[in-house]
Amino acid sequence: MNTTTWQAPVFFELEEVKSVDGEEVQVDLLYTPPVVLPEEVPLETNEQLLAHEPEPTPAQEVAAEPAWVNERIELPETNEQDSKTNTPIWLWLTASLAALLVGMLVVDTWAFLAEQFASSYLLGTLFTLLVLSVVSAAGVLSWRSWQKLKRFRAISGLQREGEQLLQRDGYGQARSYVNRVAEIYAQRPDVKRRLDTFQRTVNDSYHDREVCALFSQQVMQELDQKAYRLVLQRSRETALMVMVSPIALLDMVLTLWRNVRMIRDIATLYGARPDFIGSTGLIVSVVQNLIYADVSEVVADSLAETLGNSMLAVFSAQAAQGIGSGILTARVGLKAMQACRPLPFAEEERPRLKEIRRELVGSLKRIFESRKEKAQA
Amino acid sequence: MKKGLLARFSPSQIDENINRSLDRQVKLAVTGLSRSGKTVFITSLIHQLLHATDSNQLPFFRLANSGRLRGVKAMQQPDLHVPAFRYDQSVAQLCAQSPAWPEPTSGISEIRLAIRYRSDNTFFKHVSPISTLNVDIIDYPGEWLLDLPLLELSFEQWSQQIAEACQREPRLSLSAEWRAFMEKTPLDKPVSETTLREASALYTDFLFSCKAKEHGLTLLQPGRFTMAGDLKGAPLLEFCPVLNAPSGRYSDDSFFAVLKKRYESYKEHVVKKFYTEHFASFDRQIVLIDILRMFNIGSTAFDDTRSALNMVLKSFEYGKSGLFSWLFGLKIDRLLFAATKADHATPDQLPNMEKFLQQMLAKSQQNASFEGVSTQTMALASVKCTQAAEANFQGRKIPCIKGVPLAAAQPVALFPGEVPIDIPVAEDWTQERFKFIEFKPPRLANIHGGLPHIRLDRALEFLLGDKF
Repeated sequence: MNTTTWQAPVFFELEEVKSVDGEEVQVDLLYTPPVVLPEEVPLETNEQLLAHEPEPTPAQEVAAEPAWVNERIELPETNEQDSKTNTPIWLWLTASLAALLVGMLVVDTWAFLAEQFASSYLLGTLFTLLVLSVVSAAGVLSWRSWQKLKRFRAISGLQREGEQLLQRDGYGQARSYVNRVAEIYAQRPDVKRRLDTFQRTVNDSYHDREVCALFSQQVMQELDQKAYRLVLQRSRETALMVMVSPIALLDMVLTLWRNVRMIRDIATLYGARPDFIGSTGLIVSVVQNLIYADVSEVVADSLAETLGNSMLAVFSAQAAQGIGSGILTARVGLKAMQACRPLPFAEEERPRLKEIRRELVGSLKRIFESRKEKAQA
Repeated sequence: MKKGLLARFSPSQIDENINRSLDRQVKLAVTGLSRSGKTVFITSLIHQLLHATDSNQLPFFRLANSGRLRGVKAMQQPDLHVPAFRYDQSVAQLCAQSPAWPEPTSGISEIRLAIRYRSDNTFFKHVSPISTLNVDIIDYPGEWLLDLPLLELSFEQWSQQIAEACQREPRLSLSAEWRAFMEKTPLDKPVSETTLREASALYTDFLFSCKAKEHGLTLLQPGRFTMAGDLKGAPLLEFCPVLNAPSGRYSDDSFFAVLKKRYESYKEHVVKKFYTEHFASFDRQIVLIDILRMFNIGSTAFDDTRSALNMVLKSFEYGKSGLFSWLFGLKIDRLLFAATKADHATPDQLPNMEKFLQQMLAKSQQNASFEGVSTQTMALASVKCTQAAEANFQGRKIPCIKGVPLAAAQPVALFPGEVPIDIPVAEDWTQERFKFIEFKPPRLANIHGGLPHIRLDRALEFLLGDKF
């Protein structure tokens, strides 16, 4: 009996049936079952809550930090590679030029020393000692420079990490991150007190985002305010200087000088303490930030500036120019704040150009008005 | 359900409404079914506020950190005929040598807190530099909340609802005795007082067995049957729903007519009074839900709680409070759904708890959002009684919590199970999946720094933060 059509109903085993589409709705039964831990399992807690023990000092708390929060976040590869692939030929050129110079220098020195040794043993020893001291001094200098550069790089690293933490709704990774940020300020007595308060406030139930918000609110806020006042002060100075300076070239030099000075001050305030190379890198990143700022941001800012400046038309053209460069300085300052703050700003706490512009114009107006009154009197 | 038009324009009512429109007074509705942690929440909230000036427990409550807060004091409540909320007793229990959770609430009580702060408002800064915000909070048995939906139901509609619910397990088996009694008693015949009493006693027993821990049902109406309060033994509570309303005529002294009359007078004298005196108008609302208990019990408890909450939340009036709202009556303009006892799960599960709660109450939340109310979902713990920990177990690092269980003296550490994001299907609520146990309150050396909590400060900021 060979029938191609099946008449009677048949039940199949569910496992033996393969669905055609492969898109069968499945009830996901995967979960982690509850576990009651046996008593001898070693526990790591990060807070003394239930016991009547005195509160540990924050320093101990930092030291006794559990290993499990120390897991590093794996960052996705950044697009630095792109820029690297574009520039191997430049790198090659620079490297070979440097190697050539160093090689020439070494060979020259060697020949020079050998010549001195040939003429007199004493002279040779003297020159060798001199060369050695020069080399060691240069070595120490570049080592320090390298250290500072590394710290500055570390801050950029921290910023990237912080951004990730702020975006995700994770748990358990922010404490180690925040502790690393806190390390930057370990030697600063003004921040130390706030760090202590923070360590007392934070507890094990906070999520990554909450820990970051708390740190930002309790520790960084004071620094932010200081930096903000610094930016305001510097931009006011620039505005006044440009107003009174008679030569355009001098304006430019003045603005540049004040800006570089301000960027370095802000970096020092946030704990980056850059040296020459570091601050060059910082300035470059600030300028990059300025250039690649959000289009919307620029539109909003410049709109505000244009509207504000129409009011400034009551002042002379030079005053308007001064305020223009003051606002530029303020903008550079805010970007520098963003570049130097190890914990990135959350959207609502980011300092706004609008506010700084209002304060700047207001304070300049006050100066002018008081002068006018004096002149009238 | 609304207050009479005349009552709204009485001088005292207008005065109160003006105060509330001008952000001088807030009525906070703490809503939650029984055993959801209302009393502990209120106690903790009062404690945190009273100690807000000198504690570091409220980092996310901006007023406490801005330095503008002058102090908080418990004041005499406005309604003198309502018992005062015994904050001192609850906090004494929580902070005793052997700490205990406060007793379940058996009656209504009220408290008013006066928050005095330096105003930041450009107008008030000059008019009155120091402002006071009065916060009125009411504590009541969660059982009584379930009476509010009765206001819109006739006896026949309500009976039909109950009869339908009794078609399904576990109510089907639990109600067997009462149903048998009701089926053998004719509804259209006159009835003796004894029969009435027996019927209501059987119904009350049925409600109590539903309430028992292993079933954990919460949709139990009328609420006064399981928590009589001051009405214990009153004839007002001697009635019960019927299984099938008689289709024909029935005399005025028949069983059905008597039950219907008593139901109506229960509505009139108990429910309506409760509603108009305490529930008619609120400004802010927090809904507390113990979702972990539902996980432990299972799918039936979950369904029951969800329908109970959705039903209860319909009784509140939501909407944007505007400038002239003091004329037209006040509405709730901020609504917070809070999953309580967040410390009973591992801290990494908090986002899951929030997402789960959001799914669970999506309907009510959408209703409120539609009316222009800002809503938020949050997992919180009024009093944090566990510590987060991590353990090495079978070669893996497992997050766990450590605390003293309610029934034991020694602390235990456990991973109580994962909180699902989506509502599990019925087969998925297996016994071994969740093991959320109850913990004792923590022993605290110094309570004046504020009680430890999870996210209570954020809840405060959401509920009251914009008033300062």
